[in-house]
Amino acid sequence: MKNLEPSSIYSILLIENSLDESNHFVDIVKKENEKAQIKVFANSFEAIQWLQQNHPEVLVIMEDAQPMNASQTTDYIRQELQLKIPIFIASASSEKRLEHRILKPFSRESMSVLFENVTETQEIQEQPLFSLDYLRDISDNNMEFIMELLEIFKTSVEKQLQELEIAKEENDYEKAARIAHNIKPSFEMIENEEATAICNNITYDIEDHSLSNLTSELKIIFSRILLQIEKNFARKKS
Amino acid sequence: MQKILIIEDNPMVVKSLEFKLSRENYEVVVAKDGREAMNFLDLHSFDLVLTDLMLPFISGTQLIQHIKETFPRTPVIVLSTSKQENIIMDAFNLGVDDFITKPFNPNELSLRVKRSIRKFQ
Repeated sequence: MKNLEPSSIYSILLIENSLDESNHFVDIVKKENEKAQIKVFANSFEAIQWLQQNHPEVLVIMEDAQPMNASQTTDYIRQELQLKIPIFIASASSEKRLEHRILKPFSRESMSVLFENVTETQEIQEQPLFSLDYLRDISDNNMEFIMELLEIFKTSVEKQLQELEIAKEENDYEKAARIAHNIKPSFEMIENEEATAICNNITYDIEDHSLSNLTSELKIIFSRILLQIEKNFARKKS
Repeated sequence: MQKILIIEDNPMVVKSLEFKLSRENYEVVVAKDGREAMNFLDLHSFDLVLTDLMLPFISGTQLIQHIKETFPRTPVIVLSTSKQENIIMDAFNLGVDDFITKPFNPNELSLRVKRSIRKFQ
């Protein structure tokens, strides 16, 4: 796989019910990095729903979020969604100032720990997840064809992953195997070995694995590939 | 113009095969499942069939059996993926002429397609 340059674009999910605080948060982040994407929810339940389809680099949640507070939301994200996303708790109290805690009201100083973490997470996540070498090879470097194939990758794999989610919920292992077999070449064509291996596990060795875990892992990889494709082409355009 | 029937349900693989084979002046017809392939086979004659093995509705092996019984002079190349060795062996026992592993190597595709078509001319 070819190395891709690290990107300065990152995304943050904020759960904060005070409009003033969230606006202030967005202002500070934008001053730090104007390309940063910030998704704000006042409600932790809606944020969890959003997290099932999206994978920001970091989550910041107010301590007394509703309907689930920061601790309950963290448990849900770790245990049910099985996401390893860094989570920062925003609190006005300085008593329990731990490593992953941001003091409110938000300030550049109190958020410095967040910016450091985002940079570290990005460095890990910026490991190349796709390569266009194969697509270049089969098309004699025809960029129009490559862009069309990437678009097909996005739409077709997204649809198949939705089907895989349904197969998982119905414990239909045969259907899951068929879907994984079908999408495996798509990941192979962009040279992502991790997703290819997961597809093989679902198709041939599911008795040794958890379909639920493999489906979640595949969705996360897919989402990161999309983000990386987007960032990569955004850089080329700029 | 020689006509090739592709039976494959992965849209990226289909697009790539179409792109590559059209550039080599083949007429390409695509069926997304075994049932649709059966309909095309009833209506048109093909110089080659390229087929996946795991297909919706009618399995790849059933389809190959049908083609080999009904159109014995139509070469069939199986589009397989890695880890399908046993299924490929079954397909060879049914009389398939060759196999290509997805994602295909473009040069290998050209050679194998030409060779299989030539064998039946």
